Amino acid sequence: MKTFIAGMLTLALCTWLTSKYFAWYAPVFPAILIGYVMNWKSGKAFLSGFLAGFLLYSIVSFIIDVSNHHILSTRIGQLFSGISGIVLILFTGIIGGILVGSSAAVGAALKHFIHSKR
Amino acid sequence: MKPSVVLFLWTLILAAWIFISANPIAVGEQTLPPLGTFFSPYDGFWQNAESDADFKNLELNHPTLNGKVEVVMDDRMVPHIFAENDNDAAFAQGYMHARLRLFQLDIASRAISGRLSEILGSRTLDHDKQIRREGIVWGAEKTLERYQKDPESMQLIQAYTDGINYYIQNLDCRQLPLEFKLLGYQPEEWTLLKCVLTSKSMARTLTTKNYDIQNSNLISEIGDSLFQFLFPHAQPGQSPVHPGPFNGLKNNVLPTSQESPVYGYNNPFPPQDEQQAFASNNWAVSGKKSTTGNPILCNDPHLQLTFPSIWIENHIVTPEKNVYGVSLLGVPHIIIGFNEYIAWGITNGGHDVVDYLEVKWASPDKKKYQLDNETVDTEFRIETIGIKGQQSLIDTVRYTRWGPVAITSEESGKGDLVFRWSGNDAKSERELLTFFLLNKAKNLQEYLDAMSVFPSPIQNVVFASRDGDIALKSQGFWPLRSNMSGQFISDAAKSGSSWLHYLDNSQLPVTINPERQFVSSANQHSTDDTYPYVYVGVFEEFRGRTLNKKLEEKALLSPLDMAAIQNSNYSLKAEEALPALLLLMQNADLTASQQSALESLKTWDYDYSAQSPAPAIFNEWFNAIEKLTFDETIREKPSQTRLPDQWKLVELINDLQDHSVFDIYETAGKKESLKDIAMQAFQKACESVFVDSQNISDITWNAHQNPAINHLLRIPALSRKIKVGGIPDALNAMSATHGPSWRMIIELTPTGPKALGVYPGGQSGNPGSKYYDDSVDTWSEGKHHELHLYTNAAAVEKALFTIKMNKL
Repeated sequence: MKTFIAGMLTLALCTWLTSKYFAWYAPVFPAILIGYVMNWKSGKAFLSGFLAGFLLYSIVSFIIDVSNHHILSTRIGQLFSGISGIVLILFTGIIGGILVGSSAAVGAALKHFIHSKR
Repeated sequence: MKPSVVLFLWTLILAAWIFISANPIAVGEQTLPPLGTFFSPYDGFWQNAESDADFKNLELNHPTLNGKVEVVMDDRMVPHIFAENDNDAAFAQGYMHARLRLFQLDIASRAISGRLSEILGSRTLDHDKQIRREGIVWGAEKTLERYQKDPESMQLIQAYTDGINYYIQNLDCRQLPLEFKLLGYQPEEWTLLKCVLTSKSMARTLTTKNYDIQNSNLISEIGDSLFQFLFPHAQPGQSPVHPGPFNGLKNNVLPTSQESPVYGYNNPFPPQDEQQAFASNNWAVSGKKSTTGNPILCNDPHLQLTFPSIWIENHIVTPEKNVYGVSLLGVPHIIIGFNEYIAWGITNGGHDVVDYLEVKWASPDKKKYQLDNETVDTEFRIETIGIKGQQSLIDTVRYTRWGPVAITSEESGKGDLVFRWSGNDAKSERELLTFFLLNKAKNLQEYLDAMSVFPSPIQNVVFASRDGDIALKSQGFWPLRSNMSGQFISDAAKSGSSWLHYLDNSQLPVTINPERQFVSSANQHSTDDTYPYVYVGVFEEFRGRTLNKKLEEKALLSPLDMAAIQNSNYSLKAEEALPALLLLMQNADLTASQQSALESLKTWDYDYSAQSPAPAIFNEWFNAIEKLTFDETIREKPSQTRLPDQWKLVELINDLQDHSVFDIYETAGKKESLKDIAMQAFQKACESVFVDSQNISDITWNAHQNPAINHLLRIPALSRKIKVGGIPDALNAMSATHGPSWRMIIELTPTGPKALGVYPGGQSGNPGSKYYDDSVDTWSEGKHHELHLYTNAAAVEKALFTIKMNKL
């Protein structure tokens, strides 16, 4: 469990750093690497990466939303069929979760594939 | 499962997710932005969520600057620009316009150059095609070439351009305005040509409401006699902008004969929206007519209400001026405003400065055309219209001496029609300096000097000074017409078919310190019939009469009275039409809801207030009567003909109730009078009003008119409904989409101006900012903000942050 949480936090940290300085898809690369390094099955890697991406994206967007007094989230929510700000934040989290999760899963699957060849 | 299969599947999932996240998604007719970029909290829309932490002091350096500039942002996000010279002020103004409204700048310049389809796809192709056919870019290029001969003009717009470009070049792509992220494109470099183009954009908005094609179709349809009856040159009893008489001016134009033009044209471009209601009021009273003893000047231009607003507030201080007011995006200086000495405001003249002329080709390949007894070579311009997601459209536009062929024979169903527009002309290389000079004018003479270089369109520019002078000049490119030419399609082969010259400055009407102690304009006719120069146009008479009546009926007026006038929803049209209509409804057989509607009209005070039901009923009733009355004029192709001015219907209602125009065209053998029409129309009106409820207490004018401030891209989520009253013929000239775009009241006291102003919107173009729409409620309630002419940066109250600019 400790390894899982440590891996997830590492994924979140790397996602945060790469997102801050590079394009939106940059977290793919460290997530593949971390997924490879950790001894996870690909499903577990996905879960860990998903939670990392989900938590990071939703916490950051939540902080932005609160300091913006929900002005923009209300308007963007209306743009997307009238969804609320909270749903918008959760949706943002899912977008980040799938990105980081599937990247970590690729890393883990790659490791299993290489080991199976050996 | 084999590891290779697992790897393949996860890789497939990741690749698919990246592909989906990186590309726009089509949902029906809508296109969603790429999910990955748009929802990323680091790249996407979340970055446009503005917070107080974003209001940080900033320092920048640029080689264009010659001195130091300080821009202090106040608590409504108004930039107060303190510069050591005019060029630096223009740079700072450009920078601030880009910082606050970059998307608006970009889309406005695309709209006026026919390049919207590059970012919006084929839905804007008709617009782009029309702009290219009208030769707007061609005209702007000619104009810029002329302006480049005046170094002072060029320095100012170059500095303004540099300011915009500095902002664009240093913009972090994460901070791109939301609309760029939604549409998935990047802002372009700003150019001098874009400054000229955007200055022509307002000219086009205000002057291209033209009925040449409609009039030509109509006169062939209803005959000359009925046409002249329904569309007379002027209204009896009108109250013109300049009371005259104009005995000192003489017409030096010889009338030329016109051949009868041929009729029956199609107009391929979208029909003009009659509800657009481009209107405006301005007036000034002298100290003798003011409760304070000081001149008071007011202005409220009525334009399309949008997010962001068409206007942006600025305050500019240099050693030569201290000026405050509103600007248009894309051009420097203050367009409507005040300084320490004077104030000025603008309304549209309404003159017809567009002519359509039919070309007589001298060769089958249309490479030559006839003009008088000459054969002249046609010029060609290849227009490539980019369309998002599709192949570009190539359109070859032919040019004659009059201008471009805007409507081809295939489209018109008859001949090729040339578009002649005053906005494509330039008379002086110093035209761009009009507002620069006006911004620093100190007295009546300097106002008149500034006005003398003002180009198209014809505007009524009101003036007041702390010296006590008031004035109003109608200024712009005023065609010197030989007769009533300009109403119909005319013959391009004769040089007398359209105007050849514009009136000289000395021939334009001006009123200075009149005996009645006020000057005013509200889009009505400029002059009475003693003015010797013929002109045609689209004029609104009710509002002008209402304004002059209100200014005359009180001996002394206070600033509070001025605010009440600006917010007045009273309709003179309703007062003049309704009593006669109600008499026709005596003993009418009505349902309970119809009876309640009639009762509400009987007690109505002719005020289009937001919560009243009567305006909804009257408006629908009047419009239904109008359609039934003038069915002769619109029966064939409603979009290709037009309705008479509404004062004509009011005149018929009161004086000519048995006129044959009331006879319904389709009911052959039966002759209807106004009484028959009024009953039919009333029933239709009630059907339109009692839709969701049969109870009169559920009906309000606001819900019926449903006015809104729409985002420039017409995205409902970024738009806003507004709870206001008004109607285009009232002083508070509201329609569903247009209204008072800036309300300003300036009292010129001996120690400086006391100024009030408000527009429906906010300074920021960012939907994620609290400054996007923060003035809407103030405006809706008919209130104003106090405006201050601070003399230095430290004096600005409630400053949010400061931007310092230095020479690099």
